[in-house]
Amino acid sequence: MTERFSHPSGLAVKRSTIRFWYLTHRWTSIISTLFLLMLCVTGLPLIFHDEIDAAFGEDWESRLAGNPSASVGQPLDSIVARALAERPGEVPLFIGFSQDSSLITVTTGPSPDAPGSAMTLLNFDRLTGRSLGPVEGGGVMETILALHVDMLLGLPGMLFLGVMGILFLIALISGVVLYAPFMQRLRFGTLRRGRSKRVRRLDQHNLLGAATLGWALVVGATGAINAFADPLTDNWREGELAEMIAAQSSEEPLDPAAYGSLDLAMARAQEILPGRSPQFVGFPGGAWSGPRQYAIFFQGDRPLTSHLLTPALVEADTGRLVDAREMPAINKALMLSKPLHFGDYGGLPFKLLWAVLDLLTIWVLWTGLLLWLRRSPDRTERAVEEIALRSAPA
Amino acid sequence: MNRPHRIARQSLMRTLLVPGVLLIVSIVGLILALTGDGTRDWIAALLLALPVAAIFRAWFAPASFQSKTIR
Repeated sequence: MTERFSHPSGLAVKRSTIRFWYLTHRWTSIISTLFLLMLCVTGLPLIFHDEIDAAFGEDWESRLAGNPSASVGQPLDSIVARALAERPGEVPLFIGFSQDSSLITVTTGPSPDAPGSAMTLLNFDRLTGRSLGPVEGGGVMETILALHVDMLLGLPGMLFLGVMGILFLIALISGVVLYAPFMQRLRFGTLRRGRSKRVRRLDQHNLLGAATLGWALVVGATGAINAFADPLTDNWREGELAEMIAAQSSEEPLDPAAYGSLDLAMARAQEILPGRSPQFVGFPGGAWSGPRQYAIFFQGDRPLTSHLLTPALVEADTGRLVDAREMPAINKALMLSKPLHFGDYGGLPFKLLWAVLDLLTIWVLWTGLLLWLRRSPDRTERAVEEIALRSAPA
Repeated sequence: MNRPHRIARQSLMRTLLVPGVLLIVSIVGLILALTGDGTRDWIAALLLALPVAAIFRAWFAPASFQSKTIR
């Protein structure tokens, strides 16, 4: 190690390297910190969205627990018929299944290609066929989610937050690069007592930042991936689904009156995907299906693959199976990024720890912000000098 | 100036040992919970608790621990 600094220019190079990483850490952090604080604060309730929805909403999932609508209950055709009786003149667009309860959701709209704003979501109990009324929307949790995802600004907001996520990752990496030389003369976790406020904040920043690094890297990276995922998902939808449909003779949209049995289509699809449970169905003519086909999206039968979707296309009028394909690897990775980012997959103790790590990250961001706000004029040079001296041999 | 916290210079490996171990256990925990339920969720929570425990230990450690030197 000593040889590294024996050449007179050795230490100078070292200082310029430290300065580079110091400024990288400072600027990537300054630009992203306020947005990251917003993301940490809005992300906190989202970890517990299941529990919060259950406490404040009509908790059908637990009231109808058992008999999963993905596998048992009334025929799908009769549920669709009941939904259309409630919305005369409309057509079915989607069906959403539950893996834990007999709750089933039917989406209807004025036409097969109706936009989201014109859609109506209706809840049913698939076991009894009973209508449970429209899905309540626009609650506080939805606003929090929208803030977290795109700051209510749509795609530009989402991409902007994705860039903030990338800056966060650079800040984490540059933080580690600075941590290594800085901590060479301090034990892990040293909080120097009886020193200035700045030293105390710096030690807390280093301890919390170093300990939560793994979690922060995963949540930061998956968050950035999620922000850029929509265009890739569209790409898959338009590419793969279009390819599956291309071999078909007719591209003419199918008249909703000619839709055949969905139960038959489901049975055909499950013949080649045995053991798979459906997650949702896209009706013909929508963005998630073909012009004349039902697209049935199955999830895997294991905990890991349950986050992945396999679509099966079935001709809606004849009930003939067209194709069923696994998603490409890139889209599989994208789908796994969602749970890994929101932390809503591992049971309550896991979620509570996730929340603690989120709060600790807020403290890292806060102490970092204060370190910058309360800096002295020649701070950069002093900091670079301090780190360089610590890593130099005694 | 009196610097009771200073220790002999550690190697890079030694400096990054604890943060590195915490990094690996937390990432393993995060992925483990994704691959299964029940027991795996509990092991995952245990692994994810380690970084929190490390912070807790350092935060509430007596001053003697803080200034203890390693040679």
